[in-house]
Amino acid sequence: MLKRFLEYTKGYRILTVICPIMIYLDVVVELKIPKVMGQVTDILIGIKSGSAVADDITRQLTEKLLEMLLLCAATLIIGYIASRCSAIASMGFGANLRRELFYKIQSLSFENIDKLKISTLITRMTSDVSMIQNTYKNTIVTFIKGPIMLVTALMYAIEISKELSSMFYVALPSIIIILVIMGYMAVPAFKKMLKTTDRFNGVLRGNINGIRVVKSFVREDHEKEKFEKVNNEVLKMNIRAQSLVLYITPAIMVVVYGCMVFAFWRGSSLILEGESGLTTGQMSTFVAFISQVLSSLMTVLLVFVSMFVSKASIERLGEIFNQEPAVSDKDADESLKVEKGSIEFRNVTFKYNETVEKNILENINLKINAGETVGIIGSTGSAKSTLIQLIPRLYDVTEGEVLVGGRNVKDYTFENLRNEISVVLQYNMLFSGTIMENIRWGRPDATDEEVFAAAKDAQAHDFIIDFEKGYDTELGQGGSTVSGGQRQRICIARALLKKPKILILDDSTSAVDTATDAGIKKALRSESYKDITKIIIAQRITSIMDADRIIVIEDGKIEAVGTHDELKKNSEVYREIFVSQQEGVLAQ
Amino acid sequence: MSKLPTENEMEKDIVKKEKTKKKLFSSKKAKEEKKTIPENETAEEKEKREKAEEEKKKKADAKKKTKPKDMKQATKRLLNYLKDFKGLIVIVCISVVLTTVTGFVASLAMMPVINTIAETVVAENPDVSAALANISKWLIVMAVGFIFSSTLNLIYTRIMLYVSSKTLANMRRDLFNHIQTLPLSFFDSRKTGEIMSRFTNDISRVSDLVSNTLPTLITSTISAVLTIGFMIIASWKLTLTITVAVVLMFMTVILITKKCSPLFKEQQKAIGEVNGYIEEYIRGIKNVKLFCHEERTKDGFSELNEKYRKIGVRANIIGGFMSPLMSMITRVNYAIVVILGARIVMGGGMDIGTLTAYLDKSKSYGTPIAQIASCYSTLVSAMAGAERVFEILDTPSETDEGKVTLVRLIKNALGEEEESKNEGDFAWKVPAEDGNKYVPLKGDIKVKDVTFSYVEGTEVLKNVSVTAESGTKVAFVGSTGAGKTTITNLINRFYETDNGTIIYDGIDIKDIKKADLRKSMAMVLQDTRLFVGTIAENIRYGKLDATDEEVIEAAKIANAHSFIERLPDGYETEVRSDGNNISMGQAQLINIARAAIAKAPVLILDEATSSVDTRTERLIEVGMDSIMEERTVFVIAHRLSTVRNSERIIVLEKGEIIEEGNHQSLIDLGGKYYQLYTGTFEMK
Repeated sequence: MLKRFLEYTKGYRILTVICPIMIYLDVVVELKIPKVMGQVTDILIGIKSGSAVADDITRQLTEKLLEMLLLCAATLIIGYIASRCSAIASMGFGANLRRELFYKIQSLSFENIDKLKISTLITRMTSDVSMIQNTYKNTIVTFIKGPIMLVTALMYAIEISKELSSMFYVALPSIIIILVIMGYMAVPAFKKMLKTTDRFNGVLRGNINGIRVVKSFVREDHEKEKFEKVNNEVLKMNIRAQSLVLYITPAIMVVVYGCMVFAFWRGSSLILEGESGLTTGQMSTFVAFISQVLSSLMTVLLVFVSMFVSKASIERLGEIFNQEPAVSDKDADESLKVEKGSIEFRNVTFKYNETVEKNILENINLKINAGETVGIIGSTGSAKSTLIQLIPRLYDVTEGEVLVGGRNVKDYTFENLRNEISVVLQYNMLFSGTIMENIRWGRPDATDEEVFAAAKDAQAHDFIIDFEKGYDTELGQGGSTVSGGQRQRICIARALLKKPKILILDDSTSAVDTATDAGIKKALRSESYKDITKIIIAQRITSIMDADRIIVIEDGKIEAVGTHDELKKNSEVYREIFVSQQEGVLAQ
Repeated sequence: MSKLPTENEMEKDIVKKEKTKKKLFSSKKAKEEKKTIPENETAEEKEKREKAEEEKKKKADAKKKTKPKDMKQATKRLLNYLKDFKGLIVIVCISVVLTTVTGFVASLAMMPVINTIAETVVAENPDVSAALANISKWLIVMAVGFIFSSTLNLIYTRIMLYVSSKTLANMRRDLFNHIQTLPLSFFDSRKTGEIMSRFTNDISRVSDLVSNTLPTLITSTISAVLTIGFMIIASWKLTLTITVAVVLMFMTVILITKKCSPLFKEQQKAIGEVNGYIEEYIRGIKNVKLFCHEERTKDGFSELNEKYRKIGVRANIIGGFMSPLMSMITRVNYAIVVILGARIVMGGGMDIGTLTAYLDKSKSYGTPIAQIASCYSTLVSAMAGAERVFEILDTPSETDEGKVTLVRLIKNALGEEEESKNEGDFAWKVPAEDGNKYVPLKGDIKVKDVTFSYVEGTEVLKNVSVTAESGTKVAFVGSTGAGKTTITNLINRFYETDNGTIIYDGIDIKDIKKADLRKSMAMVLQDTRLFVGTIAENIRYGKLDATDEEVIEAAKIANAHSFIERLPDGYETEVRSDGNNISMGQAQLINIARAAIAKAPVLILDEATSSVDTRTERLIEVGMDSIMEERTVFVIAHRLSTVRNSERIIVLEKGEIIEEGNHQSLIDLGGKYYQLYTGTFEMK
């Protein structure tokens, strides 16, 4: 998986490598400063012992000062280069990753999307990508500094005194052990805490959302008890998890201070015994290195933590990248075009998931002629929408075959097939942009006149020109500035503009009033749409009663096919639906 | 030297300021929005809208740092919560002081150590063992000091954790208990996320204040005083130099921040555009695919993505340059101090040990000051959070001056009526001067000339009168906003009438205790959300002590039994917090079962079957008919098939009754109802 992500660093690899080099230089300078301090100390002690001449010392100090100032100027340049490289590399990496992911999602089929869920896809594309981008950026700047600092500081320390450095044998492992043990204990405690918090939020949200229910059943006291219980649970879990973390800081402090005391203690006897050649200045330098070594070890461990966190993000993205489009048109014949709008279902059986036992559609056999108007009706969950989604190959049949224009839908490329089929889905979606742009989505090269004509047929023209800016009215995100009924009509216009061979309206006039609905139907019966095969799914019988044929679907099977009058006589289910909607009128 | 904001923090800070500005700007708008009460929005739409708003809110809240209005008042009330922990807090304060002082003193022990070494090294005839003994003595002081300070640190943080968590829990409890008493208008005028964020964001900000900010504030202040004091005593000249450097440093930060703040804003805007595009086009991906627009969509994305990358690079280069710049200034300053210090030591103004300790301290000279500064901002934001919590606690509770209560009566051995707990017929107990009077509960409801408005000036109901005798089914029909739901809101006193009265079994409902009034009615709402818990628990909500048999019986009435049985865990199936395992229609059936189990004499069905198909609805109706006998039922529905067999159908338009009668008579009338019924079978 990681390999794939490394691919997205393409073009930025050199920069990625320059960063650590710059950081190394920076570290060297940073460590140089305690060294200079030690040297100055030794010079000062030298004066006291009278072994140096005053003029000489002034010269030495001035030299040191100049040296340090030069180094500082160097760090500034180094720092600039590093920040430039890291900015370019990390932003580039993020952009690559985001783009590839977006492209990948565009290639997925409905089945993949249903499985992954749209909201999940959005969070992954936004927060998970940012998470990985940040980790990458931190890795090439801050985190790389940790190991480099650790190794360099350790080397310098050993250079000063092997004997003093021996304490790191104890100090380094003990810090690792402390953190690992804490992590080991704290992670499950925190997980538990999060779970309790989740429940807490659930109870709270339920109460606020259901306040009418709470009040109308006079259950305030019951709710208080429920809340008290979950509130105390959260309190308990919170204290349990947090108290483990509390030990970390004091424990690490003890190790750091222990090292300091040891360095002073052992160091002073080494200096005073005078055999090891250790000087006072070197000892103070060494003490300064202690905190450098230990804090950089902490950074290294933090790298692991952050890797762990982004590992989860990487895995989540990996899941998307690993999706194979469930429906593919690789084997399709590119030259094959849909000639006619006839549709045929042959022994079609369908289920969304292999693992589910029950078929959603069972043994469907149905022939629809080009130019025919077909209504589909059935109770909620009877798989009406599923049936029509097989036509543009939004899903593939489990068994049997679907034919359009006399050829199996699998023979056409997606583009050739779907360009001839307009589907207006139950949940319509518009995009930000003007109304004009949205309708023209159906056919980007359509003229203004064609757009107006489609809008007129969809009974949308009148309300559109009533807007102050007419067709140039901006729709908000998801088309939020127009009402539900208006949105549906714009969607229908968009579908009509496509001039398809097959038009499928899936309960797409539910928010439109009857008169307008009738207007749309009338337009569809006109000459210009004569050759188009029309499939209309509806809840209301009135919406489809004048169709050439009505198909009644019940429980994934075709229950009956016929005209309104035939079905009223022959189909029990149809009659029930009809009666439940229309009893009063019959009594007239 | 001092701890300065890293580039990331700075970026956040700028964004924060930006958000605050927006917040101020949008608060007016928000107020206006609050006034409109979405009465008949579908549950799904509501949920979606609320979720989106919650998200936005969360983001805005996270960055929000509005100032508290009355710091004094908020502090006083906050201290009230800490009162119970007085003793512990005193212990904490003492520990904090001791920790800081001992830690500081221990670190100064390096001074005599280095001095002893330096003196011994230069001495003509060094007494090494005496020197080592002296050094050991100081090192023991150092070690003990450090251990003492670390241990105390552990103790006080542990105590603080307890205090802050407990305070947090107490505040949450008080807040929750209080909102249970608030009138419905409180909830109607606020989004769920808004109330939730009081419990989560605002309260945890307060607890942060208690657990982190206060101890840090004390520690930082003490160590700042100790450090600066030591440095001035050791050498005021050097300290002056450092101060100049620190001031310079802060000025640089401010300068750069100012310079790159528009860049960060631009970057924020660019990522906003990218994420907006992602949100929109992934939500609409099915449409994209249906129209074969994948390539166009990709192009649009690439363009925005590239724009973000370019701006991001520019912003990050400047931002990333901050920290090397800061460390350069720190290092230059350090270098100057070392050399200057050395000269002072040469001149005899300071000993070597002091210089070493001085250099050590000068590195962290700015840290406590920076910490105090950051404490201030968290303090301000925590107090603002506390104020928002108190604001809710100060919202007046629902008032209830009703004295009439609901009781059950049985005949005792003497044939006299006597109150009982669990059996007998329900009756209203009307207190009077000459003893209590009992009025049998029948469910007669008379609405007389009621006028009502949610917002002054816009009347939702105008002179509405409705009579519903016990055992009748009354239906309200009319388009969205006609005032159908409002009537039921008034009947169970979620809201109070502006004019007119509602009489229940001959008693003005204003005289009835609210809890008892509501106990006598069961409501089923359009809302399809369930409570977290099992399905059985959700049904039992209508009658907490219901037996399993009663639960199943109620589910059967609501036609829910068969689908519940088919769920993996049957009645024990957990309703997930996202509610995804139960469909909207199924949730409505469970809601109906919950009302059925309550067996209240009055039943209010407000769009109770809107997500159920017409055939299932018929089945429910049959089940309900059996329990509806002798009950008063109010039905509100869009779907006219739902209300068709009601004894009385009331057609509302713009808050006024325009037609009234049964189905047949209204059809015969040939008015609005006739139009609705023959023209469309559903009103949208």
